[in-house]
Order: sequence, then C-alpha cells, then structure tokens
Amino acid sequence: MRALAALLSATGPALADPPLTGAEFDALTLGRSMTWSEFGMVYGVEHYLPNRKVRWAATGRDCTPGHWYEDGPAICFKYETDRDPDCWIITRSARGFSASYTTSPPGTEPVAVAETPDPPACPGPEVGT
Amino acid sequence: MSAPDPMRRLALLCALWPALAAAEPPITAEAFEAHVTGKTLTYRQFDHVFGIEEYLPGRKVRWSTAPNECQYGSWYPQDTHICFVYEYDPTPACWTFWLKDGALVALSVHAQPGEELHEVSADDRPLPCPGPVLGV
Repeated sequence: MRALAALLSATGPALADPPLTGAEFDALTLGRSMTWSEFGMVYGVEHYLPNRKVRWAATGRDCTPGHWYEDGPAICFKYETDRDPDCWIITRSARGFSASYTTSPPGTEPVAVAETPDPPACPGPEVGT
Repeated sequence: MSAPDPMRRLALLCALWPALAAAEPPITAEAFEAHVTGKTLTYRQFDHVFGIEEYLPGRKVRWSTAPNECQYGSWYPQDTHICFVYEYDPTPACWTFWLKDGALVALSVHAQPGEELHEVSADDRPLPCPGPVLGV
C-alpha cells in the first residue's frame, strides 16, 4: 500500500500543487513551444528563449517578442507591444500547466498550457536556438 | 503569454444580466451548418480576436491557432450544444451557439456568462495554413 499511496500522492489533484517558481517554469519551458488554450481552443503559441525571453504568436496579431519575470507567486509576461503585463498563477496539470489569470474572478476556467513540437512561425534568429 | 481577454474582469463585472444569454434559443445543428459552411468566420471576445475558423463541407473545420498555423477538426451536435474535436486532442470543446442580429454568439460550456465569443466577420476566403500542422 505504501507504493500505492506514493503513486496516489504523486498523481494527486493539480489544484493542490503550489504555483511554479520562476526557476521551475524556466526549466520546464526553455527551448520549447507551448500552446495556450481557453475553452478547449488553442488561441496562441509561445516559444521560450534563454534569458526568459519569449515569442508569442496568436491569431489576429503578429508575432510578438517579450519577456517574463516572477512577481510573488505569479509569472508575468510583458510584451513590447503591450503596455501592461499579463500575470498568471501557473501550476502543473496532467498535460502541462494550468494558468489562472491573476485578476480573473474565482471559478474562472484556467487556461491550459501544453507543449507542441511546432514553434510559432516567428521570424528572427533567436527562435529555435 | 498574453491573456486572451484582458478585459475579462471588467466585462464579467459588467455582466449585469447573465441570464440573458440563457434566454436566447440555441441554434439547431442544421441552421448552424447552413450559416457557417463554406465560410471563414472571425470571432472576437471582448476587444480581441479570439480565433478564426474555416467551415468545410461534411462538418469539417480548420481552426487558426496562430498566424499561418491551423488545427483540423470536425463538429457535431450534442443536446443543445455544438461540439468540436481537433486533431491531437480527444477532448471535445462544446459551445452553445445562438444568433444575434444575424451573427453567431458562442458561449463555452466551461465559460461564465459575459465570456461569449461574437462572430464579427465572415468571408469566402479559405484560411491560410501554410505552416506546420500544429500538434499538441
């Protein structure tokens, strides 16, 4: 039963997981691309570069360079084209991460983040290196 | 990453009459098929484009996930909902659709009133999908 208990503990509800730290988020995303989905629909793809830089590509807007940083328990993303950062509480989930916007009302469905082998089609020397 | 809807909080706070959404009769599968087939529709949520979808014959779709990248899928009716499944993800995304002033409004079964998507344009051009098929 000990093994079973350990297994159950390891696969327990994601909600019980603490938010990812910046170091954890960096280790899990660096060099990778992740889809971000709301309501089961992918609405953008992001590629994660060294030094916490990102390239964000979403329908209806051009590929956008930016960076992320820790702000308390949140991971905040700031893009060159946006005035304000977007801050998320990010936890592990079965398929990747769950991200809850810090200003969303309680009960709001979290955004699902999952790895994809296909980076966004962003021109620039940093992508994929 | 960016939020899909930075105005979410404000919009939710302003959703004074959330029951209104439920009062609209959902569109039937036949009416939905007639409205969308052969078109490429753009949906907005609050003040941002949420996504663009091309509706092909046989209830097939292509959903734009990022510029020049698409996911292929299909849709089917389930109760009063229209559900979509896409390649690489077996979990259906189900929505209530209704018409408002001749344009579609969609509310995910996981969304709260105030988070609706709105059809803002429709054209006959296919979706550009020259990039890799997105696998997740």
